[in-house]
Amino acid sequence: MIAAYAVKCRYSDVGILRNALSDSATVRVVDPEGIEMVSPSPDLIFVGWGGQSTDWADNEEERRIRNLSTTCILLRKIRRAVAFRDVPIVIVAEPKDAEDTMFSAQFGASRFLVAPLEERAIRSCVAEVMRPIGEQTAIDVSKVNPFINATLFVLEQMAHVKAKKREVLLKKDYRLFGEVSAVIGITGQDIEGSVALTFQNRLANEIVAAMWDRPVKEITREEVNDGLGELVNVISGQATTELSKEHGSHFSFALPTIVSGFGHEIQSPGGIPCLSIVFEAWGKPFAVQVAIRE
Amino acid sequence: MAGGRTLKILCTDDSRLTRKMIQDVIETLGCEFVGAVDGEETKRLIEKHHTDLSLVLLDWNIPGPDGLEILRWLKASDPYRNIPVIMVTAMGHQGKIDEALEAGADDYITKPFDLDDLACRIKKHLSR
Repeated sequence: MIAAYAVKCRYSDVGILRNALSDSATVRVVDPEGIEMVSPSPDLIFVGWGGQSTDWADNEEERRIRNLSTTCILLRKIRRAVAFRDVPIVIVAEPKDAEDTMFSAQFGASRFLVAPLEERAIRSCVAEVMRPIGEQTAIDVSKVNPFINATLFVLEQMAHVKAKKREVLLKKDYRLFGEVSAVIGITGQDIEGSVALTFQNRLANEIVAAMWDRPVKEITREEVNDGLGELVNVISGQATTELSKEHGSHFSFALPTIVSGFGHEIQSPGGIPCLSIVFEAWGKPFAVQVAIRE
Repeated sequence: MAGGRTLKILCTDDSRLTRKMIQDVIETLGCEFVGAVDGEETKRLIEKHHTDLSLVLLDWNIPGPDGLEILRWLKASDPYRNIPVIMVTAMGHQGKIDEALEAGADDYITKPFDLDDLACRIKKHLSR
């Protein structure tokens, strides 16, 4: 059963969601104020748009702006709370707000449902957002373990940090909800894809500062980018060396690229299945996303 | 140092962090560090310094002509072919190692490298 949260949704909409998903999900109403503390972590989140009614003193423009800012702030808060877990967020909105909801994609929304809610549309939307890329249904541990081992080893060797693996996920889209990613393309006989190392800025700065053996405040953005590029290069090298021993494949790499900005997307053409390995270093999460197809 | 002359070592890596780490090792050994960020700059510096260049440390995955291309060019060129080359690269699978050694690399170090091991390998090739 999918564990779904409903945040700032109208009670009537929650009822419809529960009826529509009675066979596949439990829908729990969650207070946005305490979302970081709620356990267990959800598989899916519904967010009601705005929630601000027009009182007699408001004009329509003010209402729209307030709803937009309230919801986008909430989305950022939710995305930070779920860290790098690949949790789809579905916005539930009134028709008059439908156009404004498009802005929320850049703050982490995955899909939109417009009232009046229809059970069939709800089920279709949930099926779509919960489907892994490339229809992959199982994680091939022989492909994952080299990246886990390489990340832990390289971070200890180069940054003197003992990271821990938290979990491995099949991703449902290519968006990365870190603030900065280092990406490297990989090709080889019968294999193609990419590896992305993604962080929030604070942890990225701390790790690269450790690599330089200098205080965090002295590290420049250019040095962070350089360090992250080298990290993804070395992690990919270590991982593919282990893969080539197991599978006999040979690999080549492109030069690393740095991508910044919350919610950036690293697309792989043709719907290559994508894994996310979530780690933790110094109590903060980061992820290695592997999109490789044979 | 050899006969009072400071030995000069060229290091090519597009990562400033890695070049700095290698520079510290080279300078600790009492040698002079020359750095390059890409294939074209590597060629220019080899052409400029080849008469007193004692060793080249070469990353594989670099902008412009990559490390393997530079290695082949160097080993095919009369004035430079005897300069020892150590590949210092993230690519550690045996196919790549064999490819580099067949192209004339004198040694191969996989990242992440141990600084003491790097220093030992450098000293070994400088003493040849």
